[in-house]
Order: sequence, then C-alpha cells, then structure tokens
Amino acid sequence: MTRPAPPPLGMLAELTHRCPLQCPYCSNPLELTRKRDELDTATWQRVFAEAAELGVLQVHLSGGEPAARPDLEALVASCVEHGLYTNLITAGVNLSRARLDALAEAGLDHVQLSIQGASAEVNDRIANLPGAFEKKRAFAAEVTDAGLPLTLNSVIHRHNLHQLPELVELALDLGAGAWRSPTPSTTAGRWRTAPR
Amino acid sequence: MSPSAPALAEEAIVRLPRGVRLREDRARGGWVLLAPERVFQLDPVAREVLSRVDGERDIGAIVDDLAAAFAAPRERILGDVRAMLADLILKQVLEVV
Repeated sequence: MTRPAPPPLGMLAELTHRCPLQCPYCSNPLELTRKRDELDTATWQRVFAEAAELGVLQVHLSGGEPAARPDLEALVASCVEHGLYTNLITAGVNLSRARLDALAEAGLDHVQLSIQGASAEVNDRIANLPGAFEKKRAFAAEVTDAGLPLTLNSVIHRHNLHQLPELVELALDLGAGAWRSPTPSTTAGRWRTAPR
Repeated sequence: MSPSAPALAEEAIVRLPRGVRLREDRARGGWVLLAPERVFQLDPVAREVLSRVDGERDIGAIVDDLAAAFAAPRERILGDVRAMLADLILKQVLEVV
C-alpha cells in the first residue's frame, strides 16, 4: 500500500540564479537559468497561492541572490497575502536600507544572511568579491535595527574551518538569533544539468 | 552553560516576537507557531494558551480566563501555563514585554 506524500511544510523558491558572489561550492547549476527565462512576477504569485493551498507554511526566498529581482517586495507581499511565512536568504551585499525597510513593511518575517568567513580576508576571497564582508556586517546591523530576526549561515570547508569559533562570535556580535552551517549535500558544487 | 527557564511572575506580560506567528494550518488541521526555520505544531492546550497571548494581558489574567473557560483549578493551570511559556521563551519564540 502506498500512501500519498504528506504536504510539504516549506518551499525553497529559487527566484533567480543571478548573484554578486562567486563562491566555488555554490549549489547552483553551471548552466544558469538566464534572466529572461526566470518566472515572472505573476507566475510566482500563482505558485505561492498554489503552495499555500497545498499546505506549505514557510517560503524561503533564495537564489542566486533574491535581491537581484526588482519585484522582490511584490513577491513577499504575495506570500504574506496567502499567509505564508517568508524567509529571505541573502548575501546581503546589494540590498539598500530603503529596500530592506520596504520588505519589512511588506511583511517579511525573517532574514538569513550568508557569511563565507569570519574576516574580510577569508570572506571576500571565498565570495570573490572585495568589500563583501564589510557590506554584510553593515547589512546585519540594518536587519536587527529594522526589528527583523536574523540568522547567519556559513558553509564550512577547509578554507574557513579554522574560523569556526570566530564565526559563532561574529553571529553573537551581529545580534543573530542563530548561526547555522548547512551540510553540503552530495549535489553541492557546480553541476551540469543533464542533457535533455 | 545552558540557559535555564525564567521564573515568570503572574504580573509578567509576554508576546510573540517579530518573526513568530500563530496561524491555523488548514491543510493538516490544528494550529501552528511559525518561527525562523521552525514550525511548532500546537496541541489543543497550547493553542488555548497562545491564543490568549496578546502582549497586553498578564499571565495572571490569562490563567483566570482559562480557569473560567475550562472550570479547572487555577493553581494547576497557573503551574502548567508558567512551565509552557517559560519553555517557549527558552526556544526564542516568546518574549517578556
């Protein structure tokens, strides 16, 4: 006897593959979906409505960098309209204070900020973006100042493992409610989409 | 060092912090508490308690209301409510105003 799978509690929405960072272990495929092929606003809004109807409770807005989407505020508002809990998973390097406030106003529930290392030297080398670390620090302060709960996440590997204690320290420093290290799955690392 | 449960006075007022929401789960039935990366499925007792948490009423008033609604001994309800709310504070899904 097979039973139907229970409805999912959460949905990971990869809004875009565009991202200002270039972390070598990124789980995005090598062959990225181009901007013109991304789902448009109306389609995502329909997806969120259907997900809520199905029983999804939390939506994780991710990418790539979700802030690369100019319609992010509208997408958050759509989730809120359907009662979905919204979590923004961001690199925190290209989100202005004004935009963050607009997202909070739209009803964003939680921000998850990626940190690649506990120092500018390590972080910016892994992300391949000079100045990223300082931008992330400033962004974290803005998140807590806006009254939004903040979680930090770091992929741990041999180039930042020595900074483990400092990463936890940093999370406490930045007022994060939690620090997590997502376990790289077997598909982590750049992969190619199988030919159709 | 692990945090210990806070002692909650009857005069204490608690609320759901920003980023924590209580809502009905129509697909599965029942109510849930939604928090950063976590979902708490509430039993009927937890729902009765949390639906009275509004950031204005103190714990004593919530217990009075529950005692009246369920015709149960107030002291016992007070003990249960205190333990439950203290546990939720430790889990960072409830805060003292």
